[in-house]
Amino acid sequence: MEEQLKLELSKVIGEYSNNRAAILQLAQTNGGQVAINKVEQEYDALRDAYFEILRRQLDKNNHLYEQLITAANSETEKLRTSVNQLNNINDIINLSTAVINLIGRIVIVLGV
Amino acid sequence: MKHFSKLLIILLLTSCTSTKIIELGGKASTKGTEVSQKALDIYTLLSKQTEIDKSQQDKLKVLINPKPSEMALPDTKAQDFSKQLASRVKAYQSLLDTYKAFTLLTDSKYGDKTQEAVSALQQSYNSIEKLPDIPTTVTSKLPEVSKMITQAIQAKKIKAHNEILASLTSLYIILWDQDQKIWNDFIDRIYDDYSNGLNKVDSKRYNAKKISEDFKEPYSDESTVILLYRLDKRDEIVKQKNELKKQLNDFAIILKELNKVHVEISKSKPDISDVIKTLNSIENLLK
Repeated sequence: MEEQLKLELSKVIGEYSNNRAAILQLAQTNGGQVAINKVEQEYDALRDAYFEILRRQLDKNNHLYEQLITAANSETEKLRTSVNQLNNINDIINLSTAVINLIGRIVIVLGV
Repeated sequence: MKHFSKLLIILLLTSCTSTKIIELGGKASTKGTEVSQKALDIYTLLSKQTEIDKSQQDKLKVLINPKPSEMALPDTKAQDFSKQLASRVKAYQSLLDTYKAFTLLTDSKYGDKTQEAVSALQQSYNSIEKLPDIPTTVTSKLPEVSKMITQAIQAKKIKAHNEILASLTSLYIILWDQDQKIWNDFIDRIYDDYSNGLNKVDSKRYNAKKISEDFKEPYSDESTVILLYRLDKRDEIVKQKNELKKQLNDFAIILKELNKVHVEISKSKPDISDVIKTLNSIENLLK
């Protein structure tokens, strides 16, 4: 239904565009600038309606984009956890080095 | 010692694959970042179209009005798509952040840092005089083996995350494909209406002498000069429209190629040459 309406609107807008100069000339003859403004407003209304359909069609997917944002953010968090885990491996080894250095100093100080 | 040698051989074999996976993961993350940025650039281009449309429609109203001297300054309402664009920009910004985090995971520094850390650990241990030194065979191999283990862990994580990124990008593909048709209609409306409108402007409105000043075509007849100028303008509009639509279409292919990369890397035995080929294809499409 929506797609059909879009096609019809597109056809009417196209026909208006093709005859725009002649239509406006006729409007000028019959009512001057006032008539021209009215006709042009009708044309704008047709285009507004067409763009409104496009907006509605895009809006249908908005909630899916929200889900996508949640999924992407969740993966970012998981990636950060993985990065931390890799850093932890090296942190643990570095900590062990620090502990052994400390033991070395204790051994020297106590003269064991 | 025999067991240690066996372990070393297994680790060496695993290490070659791990290094390759880390390297490919790094390249995939770079491309993923560029692809996400490309989407954001396309949305910026689309957001500019509403102002372009308003300006074109205002211009047409002046050019087609039979008595422009009597008309008021036109002010066509701009078509606002900011709400629709916002959710899409946010989604690709999130994807960009994901790839930035993925880049950190694919950094080759982790294995090197483990190697350095284990060497330091050994030195500290050996410097304690009262404790027996670690055997030389172990001292020479342990840092390298530790690096391989870290790389294997890293490669495993990269594979797992590629699997998630494959599902994630497949969702982005579905939505892009659904939107693409609508954005194409949006672009067609803007540029077709402008082109059709310009085609109907009275030839008397054009100044052939003014056109000839910038126009390099070798014709003197005024009607010919005006018609050729109008043809050029029409072609220019069609070119603009098609370039925009091509960007949307190319991006659909790019997303599919990126997804292919993630699917392949997540496999137990990825086809490395296929991944490299697909990454090159993405690079060419992004140019």
